[in-house]
Amino acid sequence: MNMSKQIIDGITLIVIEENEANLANSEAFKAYVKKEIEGGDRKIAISFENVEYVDSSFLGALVAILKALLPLGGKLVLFQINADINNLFQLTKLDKIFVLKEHIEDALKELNE
Amino acid sequence: MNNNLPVTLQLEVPRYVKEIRAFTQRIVALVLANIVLSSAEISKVKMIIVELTTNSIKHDLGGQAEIKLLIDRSILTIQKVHKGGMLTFSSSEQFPFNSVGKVLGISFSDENRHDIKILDAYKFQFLERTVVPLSIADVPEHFGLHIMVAASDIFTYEYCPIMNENKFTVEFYVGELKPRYS
Repeated sequence: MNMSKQIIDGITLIVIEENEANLANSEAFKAYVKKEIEGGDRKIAISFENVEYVDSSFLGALVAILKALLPLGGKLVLFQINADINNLFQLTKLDKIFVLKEHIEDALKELNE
Repeated sequence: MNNNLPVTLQLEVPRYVKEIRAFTQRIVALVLANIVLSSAEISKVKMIIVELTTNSIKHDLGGQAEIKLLIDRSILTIQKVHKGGMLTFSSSEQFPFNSVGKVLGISFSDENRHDIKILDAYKFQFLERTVVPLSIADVPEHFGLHIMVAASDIFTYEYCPIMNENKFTVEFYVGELKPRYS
């Protein structure tokens, strides 16, 4: 899966460089982020700027990542989510479980609190 | 709005994940060429097509599966049809059902559970579940069928033993007509 990673003030910023977050890349994405968590990353922000749609497989991967991170005292913020993906989070009620932010500044602020 | 409704269309489900986005866009364009949908409704139709198609590819139904669209003034029906064995699940009752009208809990795995209403010996409707997870550990990682239920007004599964055919049918009420079945 194409993604980029950088560290900003101790926060791991992952940008998904794909238009589609789906069955084809969900397992690779989950494995990648879980490896970062195992490596000690605890504050993670994921940008969906390039992503047009998310399917159920990728939602499952995000839940698995959150399940790995929260017991370790970590925080996960998803940001730059388009209207369709936002509707998906609302419909599945996952908007109550994930922290969703509009802009990178909001995501970084949330993780620094 | 097309004045010559209803319109029926039939499309072969893509074989590869990389085709899902274009297929979804194509179906949305076909629907919008006939009826008017709000942006929220379009979003739900996209989710339904993505999940029906993903389910086919995931379970390797490929070219054997078809999507049938029935576009009418106030109801959009999206049906995925594929040949093959019936859906298997754990529950206190199995096909052919005897208790028409009964609400039953079924599971495809420990964390993929659903409530259904039996409509016929080989047909049931998926119902919305209202179970609130107590902690993050209880949140499921399987969302495909839950998305279908939440995005549609009626979502049913039917198996035809004679034709050896599976039908997943979504009914989607458009605009002001928004009845909810219990």
